[in-house]
Amino acid sequence: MTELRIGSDDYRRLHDHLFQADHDEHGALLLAGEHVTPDGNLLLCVREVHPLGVDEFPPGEHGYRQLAASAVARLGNRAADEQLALVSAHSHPISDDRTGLSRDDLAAHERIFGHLLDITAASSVTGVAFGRRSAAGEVWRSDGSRHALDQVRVVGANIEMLRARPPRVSHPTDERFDRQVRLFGAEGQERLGGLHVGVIGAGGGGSILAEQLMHLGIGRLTVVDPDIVKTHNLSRIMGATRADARAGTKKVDVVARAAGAIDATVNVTPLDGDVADLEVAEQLIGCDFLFLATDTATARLVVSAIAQTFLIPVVQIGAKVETRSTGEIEQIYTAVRPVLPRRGCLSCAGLIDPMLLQREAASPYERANQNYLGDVDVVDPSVTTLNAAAAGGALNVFLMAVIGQADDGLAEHRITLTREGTTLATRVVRNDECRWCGDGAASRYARADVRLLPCRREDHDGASDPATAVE
Amino acid sequence: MSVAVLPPDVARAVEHLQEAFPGRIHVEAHESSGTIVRISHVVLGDGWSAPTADVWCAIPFHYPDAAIYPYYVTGATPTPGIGGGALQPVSWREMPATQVSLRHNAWHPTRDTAVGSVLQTLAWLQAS
Repeated sequence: MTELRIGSDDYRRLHDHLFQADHDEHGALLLAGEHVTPDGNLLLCVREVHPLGVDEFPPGEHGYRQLAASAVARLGNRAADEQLALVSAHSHPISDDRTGLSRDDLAAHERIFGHLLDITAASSVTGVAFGRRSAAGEVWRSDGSRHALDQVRVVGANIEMLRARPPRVSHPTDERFDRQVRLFGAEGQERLGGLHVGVIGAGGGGSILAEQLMHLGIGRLTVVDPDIVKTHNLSRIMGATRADARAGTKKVDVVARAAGAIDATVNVTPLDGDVADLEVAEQLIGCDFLFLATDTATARLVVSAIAQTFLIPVVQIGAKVETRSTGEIEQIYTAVRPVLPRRGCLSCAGLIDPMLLQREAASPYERANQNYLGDVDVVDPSVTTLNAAAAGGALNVFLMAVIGQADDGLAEHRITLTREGTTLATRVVRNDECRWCGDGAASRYARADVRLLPCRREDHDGASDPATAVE
Repeated sequence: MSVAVLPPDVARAVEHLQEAFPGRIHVEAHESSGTIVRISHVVLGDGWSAPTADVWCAIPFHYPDAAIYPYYVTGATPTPGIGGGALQPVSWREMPATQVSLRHNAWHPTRDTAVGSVLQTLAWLQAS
């Protein structure tokens, strides 16, 4: 599988350039981070879009148009400096929902792709022909192999898949989905069935998310949590029993068990670990969508970073009861916070406190010493109905995105005041300097490099680079 | 034996500290956060029992998103009353130490650095 992934704002800019009022063919060069999965799949995440003017995409000697040497030099060298791969994109102006590479396109690849691989030193170079609602491409890998580009994924409030031709529904829809198929059709159900969804946190919120995702009919579920079930969790974790609390069953195993009871054919992976550990975080990179249902600043940071580095949509949920020092309830609210490429991350939203991150990384003894000014650890109230409200809101963001029914406003953060029944929506303003979604050179946006994630890492065999290892 | 591998940002911070304090930066593993840095031969102010001491800090694995806090001084003790409440006796690495609690309430991941944080703390210690 090879996939090109692009944020919806970048795609809109690219699309507007490729499909102009003159109905002529136009071109652009894209710079993309590369990630090769352990089983050899290639993911390309678009970090930069460079529309080419007529001077850099002039009439060709061999085909209709060609890349000018100046564009190849300018952006090939930039790709090399930035350690990114080059993607050549052009339009087939009369193509709509079907397109394909022409003989001229393939001949152009033969002429220049070897050269582009050499200039960029990347592991791939890609050529993509875009129709108005379709895309077809070819990937040349540095190992000499060539692959068809399977899809272009546009990630925004909606998740749009562009392929060479519209997908066909491959088998009849299961009768249990009959009522929901009446909303989004067999194609929507097929899309859900093709998705791998990750849920970080298998507590009150995460267990509801997992259960509902199984009922919706997703294709694969990964659940992450390091904790065991305790008696005080039983009022909120779906499917948890007193026997689980007595036995200290892992929360992820309870959720996997409940998920299996809904559909035993779905591949459910319980990950007993902390998303702050790189070996856990990197297992989420293959997911199509992530839900964050834990309350630590570290998990917020790591998952928000995954979202921006690999262009994976995330929805964070929260439920909070704020009390005054007198014990009186000040506010009860639930939160649904989508994190989409370049739309502002949880850090831009001011939801990741650098001092709290430090505290979470400290040892228990150090934390106790740091509490001497009265910053005590507090056990917050938690109620299943609040978790359900937040989970339901987040699942609707997911569902509307997958079936292509999301309005752009659905990307906003939503706080619902439970007592008042009012919902406040806020559009997150992206910080241009942000390390994760900003425009700056230091931003990790779309770099698709696991090593850049803000995670704990351990090399258990000790075979690490001595310059960057401590014992 | 397991080996903690430094995240790239932490490794870079250690390099920058080594450039800023040549021969005085010593690095070891931390049980939860990843990296402990000891700065040796730090000059202290008159309010301390010795003219120099070692100053320690932990660089969290998610630095620079995470702030560097607190610092620890070993090999010298403060005169009672100095520090305006920011100094507290603790045990650090099984040694008697003084915790220096200068919070970075406005830490900004793209502007604040380990070198800047250390320099700020050392200047404060020298003035106290």
